[in-house]
Amino acid sequence: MKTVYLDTSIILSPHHRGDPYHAESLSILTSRGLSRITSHIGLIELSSVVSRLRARGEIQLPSEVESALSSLDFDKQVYSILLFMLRRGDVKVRVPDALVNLRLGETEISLSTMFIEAFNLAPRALLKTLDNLHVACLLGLLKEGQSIHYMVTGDEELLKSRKRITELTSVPVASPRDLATLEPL
Amino acid sequence: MSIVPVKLQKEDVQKLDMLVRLGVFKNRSQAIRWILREGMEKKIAALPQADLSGIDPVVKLMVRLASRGVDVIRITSVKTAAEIVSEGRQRL
Repeated sequence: MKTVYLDTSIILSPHHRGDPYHAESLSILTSRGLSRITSHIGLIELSSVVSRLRARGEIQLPSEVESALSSLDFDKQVYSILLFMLRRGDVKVRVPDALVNLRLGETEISLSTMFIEAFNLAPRALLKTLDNLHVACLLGLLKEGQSIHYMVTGDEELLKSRKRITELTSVPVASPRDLATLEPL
Repeated sequence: MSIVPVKLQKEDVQKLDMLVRLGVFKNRSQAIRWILREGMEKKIAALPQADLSGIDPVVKLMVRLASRGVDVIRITSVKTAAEIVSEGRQRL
């Protein structure tokens, strides 16, 4: 079974009929032939996106779900929606957890190797900070033995940088449409 | 059990021995194990945690509806999914 690292937009897209990748993302999230993962960066990003959409009234839910959510605080409403999105797509959150100790004078700091990866990656990948952190997570997970066959994204900037990212990670960066062409979903 | 060599302040050892003499603990090892466990539990309790209490029934309801073919979440934004996510990436 192939494993795909999902960018946040792919987890969102199956719930957004107006998205150009809606059909392909839905196939990716429901395919029995794929194992789906994201990272803690994806989880934080999803929480931020769902919060903004909910606050703007841009998420419609069945009345019985709205009624059940009404007894919960806003943060728990957001957690409910994002946990459903992850559970429905069977998306696992994987966190590269290797630590490295840095000694600054007399102070020792334990830092996730993901941040070292991101720091080293920045001048070579030339990505924005969050995109860079996603790629650093992917690299960290690969180094910890996680097999990842594709990174799937609908983000134009990541897709434009795909050649550079693949050179740095050996993982192909595919749009949902590319993946639907490359793999039987 | 594992053996962990630890350096302790003289005053702390004196207090430990006092607790052993008073019969609160059988010996130094038992005292250190208890104090260590208590200290760790306090530290763990102080770690930030997301409060997820009360959300499980709602998520189960959403899963149940979805399994019946209901379109549970409908995003109505005019932006694409990638554009919605990029709102948070633009500033970085």
